[in-house]
Amino acid sequence: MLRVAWARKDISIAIVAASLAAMGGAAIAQQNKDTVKVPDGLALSEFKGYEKWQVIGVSQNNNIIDVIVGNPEMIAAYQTGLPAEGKKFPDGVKMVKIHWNAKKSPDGFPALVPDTLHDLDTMVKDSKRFPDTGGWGYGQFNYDTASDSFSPLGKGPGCGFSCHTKVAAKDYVFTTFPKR
Amino acid sequence: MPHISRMSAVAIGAATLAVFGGIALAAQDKYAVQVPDGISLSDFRGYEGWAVVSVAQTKDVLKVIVANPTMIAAYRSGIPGNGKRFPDGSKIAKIQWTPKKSTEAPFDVNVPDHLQDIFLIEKDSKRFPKTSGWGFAKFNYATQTDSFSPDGKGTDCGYACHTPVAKKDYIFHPYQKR
Repeated sequence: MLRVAWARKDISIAIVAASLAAMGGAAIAQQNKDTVKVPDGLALSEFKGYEKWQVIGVSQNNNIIDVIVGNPEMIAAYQTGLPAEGKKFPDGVKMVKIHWNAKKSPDGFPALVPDTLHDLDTMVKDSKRFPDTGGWGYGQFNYDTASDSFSPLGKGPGCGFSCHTKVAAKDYVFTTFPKR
Repeated sequence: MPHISRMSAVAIGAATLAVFGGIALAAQDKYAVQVPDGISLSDFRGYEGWAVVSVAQTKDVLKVIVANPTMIAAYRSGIPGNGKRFPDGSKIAKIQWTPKKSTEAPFDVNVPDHLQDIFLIEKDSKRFPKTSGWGFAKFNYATQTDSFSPDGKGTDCGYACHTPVAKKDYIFHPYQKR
């Protein structure tokens, strides 16, 4: 069964690849990154360029493996020693957590590596815009591999607030900036 | 003479830091570290800010793989899946941390603890003709002294290990969708 499923997947990949080739388009043709938006909340376009932002950290839980990246303002804040008790991140800092489904390394190593993209979690600091959620706006965009598109989860900019309240003393940021 | 003036400058800098009660910055100029007969960490200057290729976890380490703009551009053009090879000037760094359980997160999650080592690979067909154009280096990190030290010598430390993926131009990690 598994083999059949894989074979089908290979065929559909081949078809998609052929279609893309026919259109002469790069593999990013179908994404809706520029338009997807949480109703009454964040637009993914507010994080434009996140694909090349600098690494803050990585993490792994169960079948998810992720990297957390930040915009230059966020990286600069980290380099001043944040997050720290009682200190606030400045307005304009942005971070994105890229979650992948994990799979065993296809090269035979005892390692977990990314499989398909699962979702993007986004955070932006804007004290005026998000006064009810500690100055932070939150968004989650789930990725669907079949349609190569993102869809917003829930609505409003508060989706991560209750979870992050645990580290309110550090301005709601869990992730630290490990040495590299 | 240039050596002396440089030494003096370093000494003055160190003294200044000491006067100001300087923090751990005084430690090591990591970009002065080099593998004997091999690659200098300074070949990879700025890797801290490079874009992500992928991440991985083994029993012992949590890691991120980053690459310089030349290599990222190559990945995004379809290399190595399209059968082409990475161009000279491509550089890739694997940063490995020992993992720990987060004590703050409301769910069970592994996050970086200490930096363990960094693995570096760079493409220069003229410089590394015997290892398919790639030069390899590994630097171990010691938290206590906040310093890097080279592992082994020469430029071929990773070649044998990477040979199983010769078809992918010796690079294991694909550029992950994001």
